[in-house]
Formats: sequence, structure tokens, C-alpha cells
Amino acid sequence: MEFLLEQLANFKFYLIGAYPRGAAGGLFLNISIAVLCLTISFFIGAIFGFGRLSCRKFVSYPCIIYIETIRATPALLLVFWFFFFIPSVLGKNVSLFWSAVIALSIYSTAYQAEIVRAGILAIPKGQMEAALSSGMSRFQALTLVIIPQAFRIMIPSFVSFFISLFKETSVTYVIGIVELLQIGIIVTQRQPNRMFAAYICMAIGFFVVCYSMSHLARVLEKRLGIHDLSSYRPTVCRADLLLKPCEAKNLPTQNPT
Amino acid sequence: MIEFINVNKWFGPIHVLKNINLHISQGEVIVICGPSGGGKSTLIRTINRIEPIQEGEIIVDGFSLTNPKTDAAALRAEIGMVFQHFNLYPHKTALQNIMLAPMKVRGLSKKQAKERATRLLERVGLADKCDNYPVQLSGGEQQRVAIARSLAMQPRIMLFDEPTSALDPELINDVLDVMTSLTKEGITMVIITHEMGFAQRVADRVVFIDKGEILEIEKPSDIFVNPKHDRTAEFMSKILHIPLVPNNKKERINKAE
Ligand SMILES: Nc1ncnc2c1ncn2[C@@H]1O[C@H](COP(=O)(O)OP(=O)(O)OP(=O)(O)O)[C@@H](O)[C@H]1O
Ligand SMILES: [Mg+2]
Repeated sequence: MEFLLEQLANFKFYLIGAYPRGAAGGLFLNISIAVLCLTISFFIGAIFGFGRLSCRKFVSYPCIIYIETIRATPALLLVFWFFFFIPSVLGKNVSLFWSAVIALSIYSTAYQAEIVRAGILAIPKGQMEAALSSGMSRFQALTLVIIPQAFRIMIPSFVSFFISLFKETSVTYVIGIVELLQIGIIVTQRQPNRMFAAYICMAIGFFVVCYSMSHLARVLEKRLGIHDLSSYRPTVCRADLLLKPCEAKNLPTQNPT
Repeated sequence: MIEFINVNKWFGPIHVLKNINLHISQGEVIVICGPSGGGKSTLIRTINRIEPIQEGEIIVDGFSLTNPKTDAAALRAEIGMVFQHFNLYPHKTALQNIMLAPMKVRGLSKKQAKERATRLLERVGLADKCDNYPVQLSGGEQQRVAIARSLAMQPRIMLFDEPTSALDPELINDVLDVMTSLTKEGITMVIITHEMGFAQRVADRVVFIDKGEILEIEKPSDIFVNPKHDRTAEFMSKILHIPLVPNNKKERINKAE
């Protein structure tokens, strides 16, 4: 027990690493990598998400291939891969931090793309029809009617993805980034008898962040419930209505409308 | 105003509209009826090109819909559409629902749009509900807001796809009253409805569609009392709960006598 208290007294090290004497690290680094990756991959992911919804095959197929390939690859592999790949392609070294950020951004882009796509598809097709038939362009309909609704649906998924991305940032320890996990390992190497306490400290660090995020998610969900999106009639969504209608793809459905 | 010339449409292998020829002149009120799955919705949705056609030609207000140069959005701005499930934008209040298209498509200022929206809400008897979100309105109220939303674009054609069939019986009349008042304004109206009393009162002509074919186009006084076709007679007697004998059979009976 004293061991644990002793580690807790040392908590600054877990939070920000050796900063200000050395580089910043610890939990702070996990959070900043996760936030950076989430921001970068949100925008790129949205492009891939919409791309996948396109009925033009030369747009949708590359997006599908990208999304499915990345989702089938462990984050650890991507982190490793970029660590070796970037220097050999660019011919110069990128800092460990940026190499990790790029690798994890590419990893999260695939997931964000799927969140965006699912959010858009969750909007009943009648919304698009109503907007179009009032004379709006497809772009206006998307930006004024579809996306504002879809975004509300996506928020809980974004938060839960952020939580899993945050935990995923711990794999960057393999390329030597001094984040929370690495700090714990350093501590256990210096003081092998304090191993148990060190591991508990790491767990506390991850738990506090993850739990407060999922609490935030619940608050957001409740707050956004004002407009109660689930209350309108669920209808089957057709992706082809969202971007240019594809006549060739109109497959027969069972139930007449 | 609206002209169908040999229109054919397929959904994959299903032939949904078969050789449709129909001329609707300015200010006419047309009621379309027929059994479920007959292609009524599809027909009405081809008028504002929400459903594309594969063969034939549709001319609306002098513009050919099959001509790729026709600006679909500009044409749709002149055609109001009211849906069975209302399709109000759930993230906007009643007033905002009505203001959106006039501002974004017609370029009205916020003040002008608000004025127009308030006037229309008064007209459909919902002046006190302007700040309600769609979920806070009853079905009948939602449909009247939806009609006001279409009217805000000052359309020359209004399309109604079963506007009352998702409503409780006691709410239907409010909506029908609003529609009846519209027929006196010289707007060309195409209405899908099974409210035969209403059709009898307002329709200039009734179109009966079954299995993708137009079987009869008649004055309401003729089609309800003296249907020419077996299938029309069968349908009408089901809807009106009175036995009807088609014309050609009557003749046969007369001859036999
Ligand atoms: N998006 C679609 N894809 C494939 N088939 C469709 C689609 N929409 C309609 N159909 C088919 O086209 C036919 C006509 O449908 P439509 O919706 O026009 O009928 P309806 O006369 O409006 O029927 P209801 O009275 O039930 O609304 C039906 O057989 C239906 O299965
Ligand atoms: Mg229908």
C-alpha cells in the first residue's frame, strides 16, 4: 500500500514525463496524440466516408479498399510500419511523435469514415427528397439538412471511438515514445519491486480519461435528445439518393412504398 | 402544364410505368387512385424528376425533364411536393422548416422569409405552433406545416403523395380543408388519395392506375358511378363499400336481357 502512495506522490512523472527538464511525456502525450489524430482523421475520414457513398465506382472502390484494408490491420503494425517506412521513402527522419501521429491518423481515418457513412445513412431518404423537391441543390441539401442531423447521430460514436483511440495510443511505446505505458515500464525497470504499484498507476491514468469521456458521451446524448431524432419514421435508406441517383442500381425491393 | 408522352420506367426488372400518356393543363386538379403497388407514387415522383424515367418524355411548364440541359433544381423550386410521412426537418422548428428554402433557393432575406412563413402558418391554422419542433406537433399539424413549407416557394404545381393516409381519421379533415382552399387558387395540383369524397368535390379528373398502366381518366362523377373497366369497378366498390358494375358488363347484361 505504501508503495502505491509513493507512486502516487510521483504522479507528475506519469502525467507529463520528465518535462520540464526533459521532453514531455506520460498521459499528456497519450492525450495529445489522440486529440491530434482524431482531428486530422475527422476531416480525411469524412472525405472517405462520403467517397464510399458515391455511386461512381472509381470514387467508391478506392475508398472501400482503403477502409477495409486499414480496418483489417492492427494499429501496432501501422505504427511500426510508418516508423520504418517514412525515413526510407522521404530519405529523412521524422520525429517519433509525428511518425506515430501519422500512423494512428491513418488508422483512425478508416473508422471515422465508417462513422460518417453510418451517420449519413441513418437519415431517412425522405429528408433528402424533401430538400431536393423544394429546389435545393444536392450540396445545399447535404449541408443544410442531412449533415446537421447526421452529425448529431455521429457524436456518441465519435466519443466512443476517441476512447478506443486513446487506449490505442499506448502501442506507440514500441517505437520508443515516452507515453504513459512507457513511463510505467521505465519505473518498473528502475524499481522492479514497485512493479505492481506502477501498473496500478497506469491503469488509473487510463481509467480517469476514458471514464470521463464516456460520461461526457452520456451527457451529450441526453443534451442532443431534445430533437429526438429517433422519433421520425425509419425508412430504408438508399445510398444512391445521397449522391447522384444511379438508375442502373435500382434493385427491386420487397415492400412497395 | 404537365405532359407525359409514352413514358416507361423500370426498377431493375420490374416495369413500373407502362406507356403513360397524360396531359394536365394549367390549374387542373387531378386525383390519382389505384391499388397499392400500382405505380402512383412513382408516377408523381417522375414529375419533379426525383425518379428518373428510362423511356419517353415528360414536359413540365415547357421544359423537357429528359433533356440533360434542364436545370432540375430550378424546376423543382416551382413544384411543391407533400409526402405521406411529412418529411419535415426534425432539427428545425416549424417556422425554420418553412423559411429554409425561400432563403436558400429564392434568396429572400431572413425578415422576408419569416414574414412569409408566419403568414402561411396562420393560413394553415398553426400560428401558435411556430416555435415547435416537428416532434412536438401532431401528425395533422406536421402535414399542414409541410404544406405551408411547399407553399412558401410559391409553386405553380403542387404534388401530394397520400397526404392523409398516415393520419388519424379525426385529423384528416384539417389537412383536406387546407388542400381544398388551395384548389381555388389556380395552382395545378396532382393528388394521390383514397379520400373519395374529397376527390369527388375537388377533382377535375380522376386517373385510375393499376399495374403501371393508366386504365381510365374520367370526370369524378363518371368514374365513381360508371367505371368502364372491371378493375376500376372492383377497386371503387372496395373503397366506396358499394357494389359497382363496369360499363361493358352492363351492356352485356342489357344485351342478354
Ligand atoms: N425504389 C424502388 N426500388 C425498386 N422498386 C420500387 C421502388 N419504389 C417502388 N418500387 C416498386 O414499384 C412498384 C410501384 O410502386 P409505387 O410506390 O409507385 O406504388 P404505389 O401505387 O404508390 O403504391 P402505394 O399505394 O402502396 O403507395 C411497386 O411494385 C414497388 O415494389
Ligand atoms: Mg405510394
